[in-house]
Amino acid sequence: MDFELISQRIADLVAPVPGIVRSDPFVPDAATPPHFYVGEISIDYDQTYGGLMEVQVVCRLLTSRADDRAGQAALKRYMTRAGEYSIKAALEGDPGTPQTLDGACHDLHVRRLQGHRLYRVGEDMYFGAEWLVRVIGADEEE
Amino acid sequence: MAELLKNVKLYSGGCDLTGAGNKIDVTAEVEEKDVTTWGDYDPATDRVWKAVQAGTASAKLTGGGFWEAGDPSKVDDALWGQLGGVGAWSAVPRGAAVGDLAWLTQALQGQYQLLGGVGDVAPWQASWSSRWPLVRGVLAHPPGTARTGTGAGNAVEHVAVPAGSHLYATLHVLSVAGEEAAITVAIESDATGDFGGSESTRIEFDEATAIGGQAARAAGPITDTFYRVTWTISGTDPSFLFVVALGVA
Repeated sequence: MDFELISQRIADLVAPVPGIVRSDPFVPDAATPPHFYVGEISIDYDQTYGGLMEVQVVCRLLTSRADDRAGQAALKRYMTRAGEYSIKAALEGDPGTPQTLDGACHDLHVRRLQGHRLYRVGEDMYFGAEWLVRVIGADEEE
Repeated sequence: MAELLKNVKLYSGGCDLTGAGNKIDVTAEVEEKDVTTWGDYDPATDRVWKAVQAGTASAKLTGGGFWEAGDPSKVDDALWGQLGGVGAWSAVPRGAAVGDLAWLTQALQGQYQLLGGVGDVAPWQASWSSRWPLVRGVLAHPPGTARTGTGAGNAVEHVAVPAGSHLYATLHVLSVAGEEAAITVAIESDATGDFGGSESTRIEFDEATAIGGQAARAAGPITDTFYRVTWTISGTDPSFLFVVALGVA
């Protein structure tokens, strides 16, 4: 599995969601809210003898704190399970069809949202939440 | 020295379950038959010691992992098709090189369990009951080497076959390519390992033109201690991936 490619494809899937200004496959040094980015990765190797990997990718969305109520309302709009603003729906795609990120993985599942709190980027604070994205896949030759 | 299970390869019929498998259990049992008689009384301790004798032997094999479907080489297609049938079964617990330890048998697949809860990586589980002895042998042909023309493999040293015992072998044809491609696999034995003309064919599997497995055996005595796999391939642009395991029981 190419983890840089997976990060890029995850970011590409969220970029068209209405209202998202930036969608990055890396943790940014500066935020332009609403700003989605792909953060930390943790991997459970060898889930099968053939080398299947179970990867957890933490993705975050940051919204502006310029107006406390509006920023949090904007963030909550993206938390829905389905609909045009849903980050989960944008990532998972068509239900029943494995989301392979154009062949970069076997399937993915957005199973949890957590970390709904203030985040600091540089000197600035933003409202944000984390989506835990579970990706399974193996190296191509297996 | 203890070992971590990291690279166990499992084959059932024509399916390589390695990439879809993460658990293999092999249990071999022998029934204990009570043969206690008055003669087992020990006057020194005033006790009767139970005497037992081996009865019927059997092996139970279970495997599990993550489910895939879509073509005959995938676990769902293969294990559903094999359910209720008797087929070749081989496990290679360490590497996948000629001479590595292998367990093989012919077994009835009596159980297939699939699917799970929301968000699970779709699991599968299956179990097999042996119909032949569970044989501890060696891998005789590796899985990853494609064969495109008639040839012979490397010699592997194993044990001779005493009278009353058998040479057992399993063949798993994992991949077939080409037009009207066919392969006939055989096992030869030789006394010295150079296979320089004095070898004998001990087992010849049926011709295979599709993914599938076979189990075969030859009765002893065989005094040779070197074995090798040979294959005869025909067709247009043929290419085969297959695994052979052999052993003596």
